[in-house]
Amino acid sequence: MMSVLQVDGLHTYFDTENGIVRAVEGVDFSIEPGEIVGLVGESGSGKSVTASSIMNLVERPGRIAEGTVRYDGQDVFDLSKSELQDLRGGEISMVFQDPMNAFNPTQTVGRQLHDVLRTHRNGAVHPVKRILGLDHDEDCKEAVVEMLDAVGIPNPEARYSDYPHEFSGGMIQRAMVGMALLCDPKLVLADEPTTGLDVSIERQILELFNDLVEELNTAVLWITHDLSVVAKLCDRVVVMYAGKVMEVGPTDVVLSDPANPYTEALLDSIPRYDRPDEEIRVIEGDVPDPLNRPDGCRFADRCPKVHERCHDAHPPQYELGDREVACYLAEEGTK
Amino acid sequence: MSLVETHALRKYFPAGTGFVSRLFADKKVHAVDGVDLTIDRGQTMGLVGESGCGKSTLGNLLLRIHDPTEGTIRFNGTDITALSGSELRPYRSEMQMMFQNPQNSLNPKHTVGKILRKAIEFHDVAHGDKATELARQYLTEVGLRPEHVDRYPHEFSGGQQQRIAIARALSVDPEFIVLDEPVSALDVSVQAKILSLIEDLKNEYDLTLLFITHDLNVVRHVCDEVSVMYLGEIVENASTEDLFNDPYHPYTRALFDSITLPEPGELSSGGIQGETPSPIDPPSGCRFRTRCPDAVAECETVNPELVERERDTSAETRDTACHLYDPLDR
Amino acid sequence: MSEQERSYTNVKWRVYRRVRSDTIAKIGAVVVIISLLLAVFSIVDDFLLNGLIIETLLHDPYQLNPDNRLAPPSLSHPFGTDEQGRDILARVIYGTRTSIVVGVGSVLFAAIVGVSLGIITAYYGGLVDDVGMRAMDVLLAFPAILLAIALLASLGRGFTSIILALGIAYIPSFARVTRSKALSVKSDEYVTAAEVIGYPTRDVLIDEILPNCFTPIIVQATFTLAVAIIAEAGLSFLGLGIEPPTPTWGIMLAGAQQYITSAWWYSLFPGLAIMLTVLGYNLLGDSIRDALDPQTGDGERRL
Repeated sequence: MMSVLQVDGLHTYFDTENGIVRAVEGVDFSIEPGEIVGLVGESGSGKSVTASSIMNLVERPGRIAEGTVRYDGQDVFDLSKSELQDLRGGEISMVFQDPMNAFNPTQTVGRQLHDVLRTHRNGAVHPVKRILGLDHDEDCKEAVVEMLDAVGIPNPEARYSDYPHEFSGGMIQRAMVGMALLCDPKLVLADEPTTGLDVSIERQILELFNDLVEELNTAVLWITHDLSVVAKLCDRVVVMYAGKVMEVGPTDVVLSDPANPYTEALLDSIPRYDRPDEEIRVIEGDVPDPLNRPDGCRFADRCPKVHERCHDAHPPQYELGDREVACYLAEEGTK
Repeated sequence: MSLVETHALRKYFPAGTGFVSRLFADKKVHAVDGVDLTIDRGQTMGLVGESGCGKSTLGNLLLRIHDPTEGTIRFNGTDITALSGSELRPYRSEMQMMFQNPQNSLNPKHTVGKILRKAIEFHDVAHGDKATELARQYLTEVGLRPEHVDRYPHEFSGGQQQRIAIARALSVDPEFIVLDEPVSALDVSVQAKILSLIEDLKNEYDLTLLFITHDLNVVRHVCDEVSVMYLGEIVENASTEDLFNDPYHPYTRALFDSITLPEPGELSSGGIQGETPSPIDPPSGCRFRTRCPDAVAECETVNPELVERERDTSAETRDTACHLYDPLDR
Repeated sequence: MSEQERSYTNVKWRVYRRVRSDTIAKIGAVVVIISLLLAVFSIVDDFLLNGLIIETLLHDPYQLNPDNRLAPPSLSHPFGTDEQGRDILARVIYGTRTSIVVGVGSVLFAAIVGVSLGIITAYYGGLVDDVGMRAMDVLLAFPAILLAIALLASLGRGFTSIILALGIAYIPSFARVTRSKALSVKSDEYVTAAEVIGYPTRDVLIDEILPNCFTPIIVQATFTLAVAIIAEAGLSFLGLGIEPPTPTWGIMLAGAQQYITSAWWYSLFPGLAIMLTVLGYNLLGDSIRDALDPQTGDGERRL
C-alpha cells in the first residue's frame, strides 16, 4: 500500500544575517493510511518547521534546501500554487493550536464550515454571490450540521448560526476538528491542537480524534511537545531534537523502552504523580545554538551515555526491530 | 503558624467593560467566591483547578494586585485587606510573585542588572555598587552568570528568563512567593530544571510558596498541601499525600482521572464530562452538581461548606465541600 | 554586544540600519536633515548674526528693492524675486525656520500632553478613561485645521499661538495611539511585577509602561510633523498664522497668488519647498514604521 505521506531527506534552512539556521536537517518518515503519527520535540527541535515544509508553507527567509515530500506518491514541491491550494483545502487539512484565531470572527461558524464544504464540492463561487448569501446549499448545511453533531457539539442545528466568540474553548476546537474532517481528507495535520486546553477538555478532544479517525480512516500527523498525548493517541512517534530525527517507531515500544538516550531523558524529565518518590530528571546543559550546532551527535554534549565517536559525526538511522534510532548505541542491534 | 490567611474572600468583576455596563453592573463574574485559605509558614501550598476557576485571581488578591470585593487577608497576623499603596509598601518586599510567560514578565527595555538593582534599591536592601554586587550574586544563585547583568531579557532563553524572574522576586528578600504557573510555558526538560531550582531556593531562603498550576503531576512533586478550586470556591484541601492517595471530592477525583501520563495505552474511561458553567451565573447549591456523577437532591439547594468531614470507610477526616460526607461534630 | 543583539534592543540602531539599507528612506532622511540644517542656519543667522551670512552669500531676505520687482530667476537671484523685489531663495531658506519650529513645537506639545493622557487613561481605566477619551472624541469631532483656526482666532497671531493651536489639535492622535499601545503593555506581566515590588504608580507609568510605548509614538510624531508643516503653511496662507514680514512658505504662496500667470517662479519655489519637506518626513516616517514594526520584519528591504 502506498504511504499517504512520505518525507525523505527534508532539509529546511533559514538564511539570516548571522548565518544559515538549519532548522530541519534531514528528516525522513512516512504515514500510512489511517495511521496517527506523533511528531514530538521541544521548542527549537524543528517540528513546526517540518510541518510547514510538508504543506510547502515555508516563507522567506526560509527555504527547503533538500529533500522531497510525497503526498500519495506526488511530490508536493512540484505542484503549482493552485494545485497546492486544492490539496490543502481538500485532501490535507489542518487543525491549529488557537482555533479562535483560525475562525473568522465576523461570520457564523456554521457558515464558515458550509463555505469550505461548498467550495470543495462545487468549486469557488463569485464573491458577490457569497456576500449576498446566494451560494447557500441546503445539502451542505445538512452535512455541516451532521458534522457538528459528530464532533459532539450539542444542539448542532442551533449552534450552526452562532459566531465563534459564542463558543467555549473546547467547543470551538471541536468545530475546528469538524471543519478539518468535513471534506473527508486523507491526511490531517494537527499542530498542538490541545495545548492550552484544560486536561478534561484535552481528553475529550483526544477521545473525539480517536473515534473519528478510526471511523473515517484518516491519517493524522499530530505535532506536539507532550509525550503523554502521544502515548494515548498515536500509533507511531517521531522524536525530533535540534533539527534531527532521534527515534522513530511504534509508540508503545518507544515510550516503554526508549532506545535513544534523548528519548529516555525526555521521558524521565516529565514529573509523574504516580512516582512521587522518583526525582524528576534534569537534562544538563542547553539545546545547542541553531547557528552553531556540534558536528557530532546533536545530543552528545548533554548525553549521559556519550562515547568518543559521538563527537565525530551525527549517527545515521540504525534499524532496531521495527524502529529506527539515530544513536551509535543502537548499532549493535542492527544485525 | 500561618503566614497567609484569608477569610471569606470574594472578588467580583463587572461582566462587561463598557461605560454602560459599568454603570448598571448587575452582571458580575464571580471569580473568587468566599475563600478561606491558610498557608503555613515554610509550606508549599498547591492551588489547582481548571482555567477560569479563579486560582490566578486568588493569587493576585493575596498580593493585593486586585482589591477584594469582600473578606479579609492577613499576612503574618496583620490585616492587609484595606491598606493603601504606601501603607502596603513594607509588605511588598515580603510578598513576591513569579509569572507564567517568561518573555512577558521582564521589561524588554531594561537590562537584567537594572531590573534587579531597581528592586533592591527601592526596598533599601542595598544601594549603589552594593546593589549591583547583590544583583550579580542573585544571578549566580539562580544559575546564571554575574556578567549577565548587562544583557537584555530577549537575549536569554525561556528557562533563563524564568531564572531572572526568580532572581527578581528573591532580590527584595521576601518570605512569601506566589508562583502563577511558573513552568507551564516551558519545555519539559527546562521545566525540570526550574522546579529543582525553586525547591533548592525555597529551602535556602526559608520561603513559603503558593504554587498555582493546572498540572497535577507537578503538584505531586512540589507541594506539601493542596487546595482544589472550582468556579471560585475551594472544594477540597488536604496534604498532598493524602489527597493523591484518596481524593474525597468528586471534582478532585474527576481531575485525577484526567491526568495523562506518558504511558502507552488507551485513554482510560472517566474524566469530567461537559464544561465548566459560566462564573457569571454559577449553578445554585453546589457548583459542581451540574457535572457531578454523584449529585443528590440536596446538592441543588444547599452549597456545602468547606469543613472537616468524615468518611464512613476511613478513620481520616478532611476539609472538603461535599454533601457526600458528613461534617464532623465539633 | 554583537550586531544581532544590538539590532534587537536598540530602536535607534534598527532605524539607522533600515535607513542605510533603503534608498527611499535615505532620500527622506537627506531631506529631513537638510531642512533641519537650514532651519538651524536661519535661526542662527537671523537672530545672532543679523543676516550676515545670507546677505554675503545671497541677499537680505527682508530687503525691499522696488526696482527689481518680480525678476525671473537669474544668476544673482536663482529663484527670482517677489513683488517687492526680495530674493525668493533667501526667503525660502528663512521660511524653513518657521515650518520646522512650528512643526517641531506643535508636535512636541501635542506629544507631551497626548502621551501623558494616553498612558494615564489606559492605566487607570474606568471613569478616568471614559472622561479622558470622551474629551478626545470631542476634540476629534472638529477637523484639525478648523479647530486650529478657531483657536488662532481666540489666541491671536504669532509663533506661540500657532504652535499651541496646532499642538492642541493634534493631542487626540497622540493620546489614542499611546493609549492603545499602553493598554496592551499594561497587561504584560512585568507591569504587574513592578506593582508587586511596590513601585509607586508614577514610576510604573514612566519607567515600565512609557518606554514600551515609544515605537508608535515615534512614528506618529514623524507623520504629524509633516501634517503640521502643511497646516502652518495653510494657516499662514490664509493670513491666520505668522505675521509678515517674517518669511514663511505659506505667506509667500499667498503673495504669489495674483502673479501665478505672470511670475511662475514666485509660487513654484515655496510650493516645491513645502512638497519636498513634507514628502521627506513622510518617507522617513514610513521607513521608521517599517523598521520598528516587528510584523514587517527588519531583514526585509524595500528597494
